[in-house]
Amino acid sequence: MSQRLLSIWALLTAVGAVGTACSSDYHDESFGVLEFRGTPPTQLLPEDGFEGGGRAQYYNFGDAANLKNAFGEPLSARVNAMYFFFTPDGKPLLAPVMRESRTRQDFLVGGSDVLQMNPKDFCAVVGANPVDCKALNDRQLDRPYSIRYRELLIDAARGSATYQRPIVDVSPTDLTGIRGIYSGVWEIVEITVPSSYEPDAIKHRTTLKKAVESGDFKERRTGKVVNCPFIDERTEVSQGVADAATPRPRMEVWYRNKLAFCYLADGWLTLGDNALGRYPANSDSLRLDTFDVSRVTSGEGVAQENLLVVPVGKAFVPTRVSFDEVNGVSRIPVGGQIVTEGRPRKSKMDPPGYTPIRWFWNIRVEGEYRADSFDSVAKLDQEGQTRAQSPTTVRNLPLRGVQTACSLGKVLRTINGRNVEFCGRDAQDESGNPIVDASGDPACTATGLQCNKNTCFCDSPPVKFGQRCGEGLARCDEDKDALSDNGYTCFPSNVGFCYLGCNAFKNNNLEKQNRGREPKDFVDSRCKELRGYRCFPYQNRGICLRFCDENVLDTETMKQCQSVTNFQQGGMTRTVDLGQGQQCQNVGFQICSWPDDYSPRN
Amino acid sequence: MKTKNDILMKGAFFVTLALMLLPVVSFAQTTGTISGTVWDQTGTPVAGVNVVIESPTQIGGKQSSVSDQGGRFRFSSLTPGTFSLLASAPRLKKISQSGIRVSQGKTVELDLIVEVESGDTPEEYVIEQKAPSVNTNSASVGESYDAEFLDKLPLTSRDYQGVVALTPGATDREGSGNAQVRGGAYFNNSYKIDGFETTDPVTHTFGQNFSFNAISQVDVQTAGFGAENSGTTGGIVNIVTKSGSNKFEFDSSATYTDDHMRFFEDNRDRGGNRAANVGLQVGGPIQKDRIWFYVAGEVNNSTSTILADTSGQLPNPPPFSILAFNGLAKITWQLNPRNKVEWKSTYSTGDFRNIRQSPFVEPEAEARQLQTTLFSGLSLNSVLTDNLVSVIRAGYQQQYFDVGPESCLWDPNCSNVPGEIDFASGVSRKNFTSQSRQYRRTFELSGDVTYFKDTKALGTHGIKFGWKYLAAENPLAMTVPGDQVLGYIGQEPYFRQETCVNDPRQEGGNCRSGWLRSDVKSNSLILHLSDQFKPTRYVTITPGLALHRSNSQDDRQRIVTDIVALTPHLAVAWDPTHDGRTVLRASYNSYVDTGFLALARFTSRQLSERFCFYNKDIGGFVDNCRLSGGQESTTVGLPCGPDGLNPDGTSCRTNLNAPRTHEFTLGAEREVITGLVAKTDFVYRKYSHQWEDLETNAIWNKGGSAVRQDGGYKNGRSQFVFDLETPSQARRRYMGLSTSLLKREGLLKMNASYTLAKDEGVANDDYITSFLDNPGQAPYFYGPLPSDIRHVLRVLAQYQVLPWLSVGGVYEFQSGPPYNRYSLDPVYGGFSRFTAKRGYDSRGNLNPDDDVALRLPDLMNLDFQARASLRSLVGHNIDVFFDVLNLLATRTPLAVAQSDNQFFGQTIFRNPPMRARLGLRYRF
Repeated sequence: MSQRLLSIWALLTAVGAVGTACSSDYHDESFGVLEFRGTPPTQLLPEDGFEGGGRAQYYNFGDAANLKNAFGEPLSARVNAMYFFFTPDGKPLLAPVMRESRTRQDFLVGGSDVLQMNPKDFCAVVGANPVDCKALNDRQLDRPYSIRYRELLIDAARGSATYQRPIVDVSPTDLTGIRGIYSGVWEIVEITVPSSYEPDAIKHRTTLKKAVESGDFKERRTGKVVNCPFIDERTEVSQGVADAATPRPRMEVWYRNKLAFCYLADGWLTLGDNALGRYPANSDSLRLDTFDVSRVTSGEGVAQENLLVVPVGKAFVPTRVSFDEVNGVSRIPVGGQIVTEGRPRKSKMDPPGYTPIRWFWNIRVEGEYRADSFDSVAKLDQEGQTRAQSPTTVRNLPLRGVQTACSLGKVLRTINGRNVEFCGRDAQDESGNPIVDASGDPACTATGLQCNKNTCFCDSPPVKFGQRCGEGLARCDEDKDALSDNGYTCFPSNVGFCYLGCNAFKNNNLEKQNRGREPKDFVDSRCKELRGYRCFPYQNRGICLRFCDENVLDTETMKQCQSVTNFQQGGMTRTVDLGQGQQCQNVGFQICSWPDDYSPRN
Repeated sequence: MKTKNDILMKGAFFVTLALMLLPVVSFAQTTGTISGTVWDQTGTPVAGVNVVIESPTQIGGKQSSVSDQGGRFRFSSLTPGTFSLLASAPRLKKISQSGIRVSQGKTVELDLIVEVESGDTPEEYVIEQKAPSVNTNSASVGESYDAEFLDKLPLTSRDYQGVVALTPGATDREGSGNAQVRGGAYFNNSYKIDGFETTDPVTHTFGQNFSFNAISQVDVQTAGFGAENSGTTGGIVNIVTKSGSNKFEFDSSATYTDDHMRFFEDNRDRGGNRAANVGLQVGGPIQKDRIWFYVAGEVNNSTSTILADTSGQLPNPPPFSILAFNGLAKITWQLNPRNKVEWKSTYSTGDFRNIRQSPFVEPEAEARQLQTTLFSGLSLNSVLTDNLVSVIRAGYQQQYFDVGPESCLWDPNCSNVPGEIDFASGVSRKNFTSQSRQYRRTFELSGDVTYFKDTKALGTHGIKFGWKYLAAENPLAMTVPGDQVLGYIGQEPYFRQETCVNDPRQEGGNCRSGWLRSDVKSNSLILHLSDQFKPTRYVTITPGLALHRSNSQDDRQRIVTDIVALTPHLAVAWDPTHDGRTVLRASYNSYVDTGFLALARFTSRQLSERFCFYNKDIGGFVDNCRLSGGQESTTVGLPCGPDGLNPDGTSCRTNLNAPRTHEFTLGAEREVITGLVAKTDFVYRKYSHQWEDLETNAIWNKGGSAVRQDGGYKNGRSQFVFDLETPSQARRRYMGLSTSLLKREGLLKMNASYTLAKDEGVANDDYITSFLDNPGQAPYFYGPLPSDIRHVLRVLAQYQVLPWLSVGGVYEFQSGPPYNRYSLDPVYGGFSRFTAKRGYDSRGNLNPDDDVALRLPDLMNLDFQARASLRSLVGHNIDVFFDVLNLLATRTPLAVAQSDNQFFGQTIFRNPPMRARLGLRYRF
C-alpha cells in the first residue's frame, strides 16, 4: 500500500516539476519599483554655470564610479550594458518618446497596453460632432488629470501597444558587490528576440543571459553609449531653459525584476533621430556619439578585461577658502558657477570633447571675487588661479545646454535709487506708465522661449494669474499689472499655478482687525483687503492665499473660495472671481487653491 | 425598506420551516451511526440476527435491530460514546463487541461473522470480536479527542481552543484561541456546540466560552468537510457536551497556580501572576431512561501585571484581572423510542480589568471589558423508520460586549472626560479614548434528513438533504469620551482629534456629539445534498452539492454582501485489505466564505474624526487638518473609485465573487498492529477571491511611494476611501502532509503527529489588510504567510504507570514562522511598507538578489503531568494532579518587532516560563 502511495506522490511531484520548468523559461515576475532609500528630492533642478563663455545649465545626478590612474586620479567612468530589444526583422521594441504637453516632460515607458501620455482630445477626431466632443472633453476635465481617458500608444510597425523596457544589471542602490561600477552611462546592447517573444516578459539580466545562451535570442554589442543616470520614481527632473529641442525622456528600465527610472540626459540621438524615429537593429552607422567614448584595458592576467569607458572631464567650481581657529579651513563654493568645457554633439559634424562625467575641482577665489568672472575654462587658466582639486568627487554632471542671450538691447532703469539693467525695449503699459517690453525677441523666439528682461537670457514664457507655471515650463510674471501690484507668484514653485503676489516684507496694516477672528475671516492690506486672504512669505517675495475650512459641503467649499474683486483695465472696470475653480485644500493649513489637475475650461 | 433579498430570504425561511414540519426520522451531524452486515463463515449474508447495542451515553436504554435479507443492520442517531454490541439468533453462537467508538458525524461499519452452534457448545458461549479502529467510509481529515484523554494531559490552556491548536494542520503559536487551520485565516473556522453554530457572527471567531469539564468530546475536522460544511474554509470545531445518564454523578475540580510556581523568570516577565479555577458538574436521571439532566459551572479568576518602570518616570501599572463564570445546563428527553429532544444552554460572563497593560498608560486611562455570552439550543432527533432519520435544530446565541474606560468604576462623569496623550513621554492619561457597547445575536434553524436504501444492484445509499438558516444582527453604540482626544507635548497643546456621530460635511459643518448607534444584519441559507454510496462492501463514494445564499446589510440598509454559490463535493474511501483495518481516501471539495457581519460593519457609518495640529501663531487647532471616518470612507464593489466610473465614463461596479477554496485531499490509514493506527493525509487548498479592502481614491505613482502630484485623489479630497472587494489577486495556497500514530486503548494512549506544510499567499491575517491599498506594494505581498510553519511535531501521550498513578505529556516542536521588516509608509503613516518580498529582509539595500529570509526561531515545548488517585487511601474518588508546563524552560521568541527602526527584531512575546499548576478532582 505504501509503495502505491509513494508512486502516486512521485508522479504528482514529477508532473508538477515539469510544469514549473516549462512555464518559467524566459519570463520574470515584476517585483515592484526600485526606490532609493530615504526621501529623495521631489524635483531635480538644473544648476547654473558656464561653458565656453556662455551661460549654461547642468544636472547633477550624483556620484559616478570611475577608474583611476596610478596616482589615484580619476581617468574614466565604466560603461555598463543596457539591453535594448528588437524583433527578428530588426524593429525596435522600445517605446517611442512621448511628450506630455501639459508639463513638456518627455517619457519613454514600456510594458503592456501602454497609453498615450496626453488625454484624448475628442474634438481632434476627424468628423467629430462639435457638441458631442465638447461634452466628452468636459467630462474629462471633471476627472483628475492622471486618470483622464487616454488611447493606446500603438506601434504602427508592429501593430502593438506592448513595449519592452531596456534591461540593466547595475544600479546606484546596491551596497554589495557591484556598487563600484555604476556610473549612469550605458552601452547599447542589441537583443534580437524570436518572433514568439512577448515584449516585456524578461525583466532580469540572468533570464536574458539564459535566453541568449539557449540560442533563441541574439546579442550584439554596439559600442554606442548613452547617458541615462538613475532617478527615484518620486524625483522629477525639471525642464531647464536651454536646448529645449532635444528630447530628454524619463526612461523606464528593468533592474533585476524591479522597475527603475533613468533620465536620458545625453543620447537620444544615439537611439533615434531628430524626427523621434527609433533606429532599427544593426544601425550603428546612424547612431550618433553624443559624448566621447574610448576603450581601455583594465587589470592583468586572467583579470584583464577590455572596457568601454567614458573619459572623465573636469568641472570647476569657484570656491572661497577661509580659515579661523574655531572652524579651521572652510571651503564655500560660489553658487551657480560650474564651469566646464565641451558640448554634446548634435550631429556628426560637431567636434568631440564633451563628457558628462566630471571630476570636481575647486578653484580658489578671493573674497572680492565677482560672480560670473569665470565663464570658461580658458579664462580660468588665464587668471592663473590656485587650483585645489577634490580628489574623490566624480559626478555624472551632464550639460543640459547653453542658454541663449536675448538679442534685444539693454535698457537702464532706476529702481529704489539703484540703476538696474534690463533687456528689451522702452514701452508703455495700458495706463501709459513706462515699462520694459522684452516680448518678441528674435533669438529667443527661435528657440521656443522668451526673453527674460531681468536676466537677459531666453527663458520660459511669463504667464499671469491662474496660469500653469513651473521650472522650465513657465514663470509667473512678477511685474505689476492691473490686477496685482506685485505681479504673481508660482505655487507650488516646482509645478503649480500663478497666484497674486505680495510684498511679505511689509506689515499688514489691518492686523488689529483680525483679533478674535477665524482665519477664514482675516483681512490683509497686502492682499487687496480681500476677506480671508493673507500674505505669506514665499519664494523670497510673497503670495496671497485664502484661508478656508475643509469641514463643509462640497458646494459650500466652492462658495467659500469665491472671491469677487474689481480692477481697472483699459479704462474699464472689470470683475473677476479669484477663486474660480479653486478647492479648499490642506497644505499644512487649509487654503483655497487650484488642485494639481485643474484645467481651465476656457 | 424591503429589498429583493429580504423576499428571497423570507421564501427560504418558509421552505425551511416546511421541511422542519415533515414527519421524518433523524440523523445528525452531532450523532453517529453504527451499521454493518452479518455474515456466516462462507461469506453469505445472514438475515434475522438480532443486534443489540448499548452505551452509558445513550438515553432510552438498549437499542435493537434485526438484520435484513442482505444481512444489513443499522443504528442511527447515536450520541457519541463507546458502545457494546451483542448479536444473537437461534442456533447461532452469540457475537459480542465492546469498545465501539462512535464519533459525531461518522459511521462505524461492522462485519459480524456468526458461527452455527455445535451440539456441545454451551448455550452462553460468546465470541468476542474486535471493534474496528479505522473508519473505512469517510474521507474527512481530522482528530477527535475524548474527555478522558484530554483530562490526563498537561494542557497549557484547559479549554477547547487549546485542544484545537494541538491538531495536525492547525497552528496557534501565540495562543490567540483562534487557530489557523490548513491555510485558513483565524476567522475561517466554524465553532459548534453539539452541532449548533456558535461562531461569532461579527468576527467569525469562537463565540462561546465553555467549561472544560463539561466537554465530552472535541472533534476537529481540518479537511474533507463535504457539502454539509461547505461554508467553512478553515477548520470545523465541534464540541460534544456531556449529558446526564441513568446514574447520579457529581464531579468537581479545581486548579491553582501563582508566582511561587513559576521558575526561571527574568526581569521581562510579568509579575503578580495568579490563576484559580473551580468547577462543579452534576448530572443524572430525572426519570430513568427517559429524562436526564446535566449542569456544569466553573469560575475562573486570574491576575497578572506588567512590570513597573524601575526609573519611576512611567506610571505604575494596575493589575490585569479576569473574573469569569462559564456554565452549561442540559436536558435530554427521550420522548419515545424513536424521538429524542435535547435542550442545552450555555452562559458565560467575564469582567476584564485594566486590559491595556502598557507602561505608557496611566491607571485612569486604562480600559475595562465586560462581556456576556449566551447560547440556547433545542434539537429533535427522530427515527421514524429504519431507513429515514432526521434532526431539527433551533438555536439562539448572543454576545454582549462593553468596552470602555476603567475610570467609569469611580467617575460617573467618565464619558465626558477626554483622553490625553503626551507625546513627550508617550503616556496616555486622563481617560481611555473609546467606548463601545454591542450585542451580537444569531438565530439558527437547521436540520437534515437522511434516507438509507440498500439494493443488490445499486449498492447501498445514504442520501442526505440538509439546510441551515442563520439570521444575525449586531446593534452597536460607540463614542469617544468627551468627543475628543487631546495631544500634548508636555503641557503644550499638540493636536486635537474631534469626533462627531454625524458627517459634518453632510450637515453644513455641524458636529453632533454623543453615541453613534448603528445596526447591521445578515441572513444566510445553505441547502446541501449528498449521497453516501457504497457500490461494494469496500468502497464508499460520497458526491455532494451545496447551494449557498447569503446577504448582509449595513446600518443604512444598503446591501453589502449578496452571494449565491454552488459548491460541488466528491469523496472516495476504499478498504483495499477488506478487513476494516485500512482505508485509502481522497476527496475534492469546494468551499465558499459567504461573509460575516464585520464586512457590513466595515461599510457602516463610523465616527467622523477631524484631526488638526495646534498652530501657536493662530492659537488654535488649524494646521494639517484631516478628516476621516464618517459616511463616505467606504464603498462596496467600486474598484475604480468612489464615483464608480471608469475614465471613459462607463461604470465599474462589480458584483463580489464569493471567496472560494478548492481543496484536494489524499490519505491512507491503517491499523498497523492491534490498537495502533498509522495515518497520513495530504491536503492541498487554493484560496481565491478572498475578502479584501482596497483603497480606491488615491492616485499613486507606480512605486507607491507617493500620491501623484497631478491629481492625487479621484474625488478631489485628500481622503482615503476603502472599497470592499474579493479581487482575484487576493489568493493563497496551502499544501500539507500530516502523518499520525494513534493509540487510543491500553495503558499507553498516544496521539503523535508530524506535519510538513507550506502556506503562502498575499495575506491571511485579516480581511482589512494593506494589500492592494498601494499598487506599488502589491508585488511584495505574495510569499510565506505568518502561518507558514513548515515542520510541526506533536506528541500527546499518557501512561498508566500504576493503578493509582498516571503520567502524561505534551511535546511540541514547531519550526519558526516568517516575519517581515516593515518600513515607514510616508503616505499612510506607520510601518507597513515592504522593501523586500514578504518574509524577507532587503538587508538595507535594494538589490533583490541578496535578500535573506526572516524566520523566528524554532519552538520546542514540553509539558508534563503526574496524576494520582487517592481512592485507595481515602476511599473516595479523588484525583490530585500536578502539571509542569514548559519543562524545558525554553524562552523562544514567539513574536518580534517588525518595524524598521531601532526596535526591529526585538522580542515582544516569548514562550512563557516554566510553571507549575496544581489540580484536584473529586467525583461521586
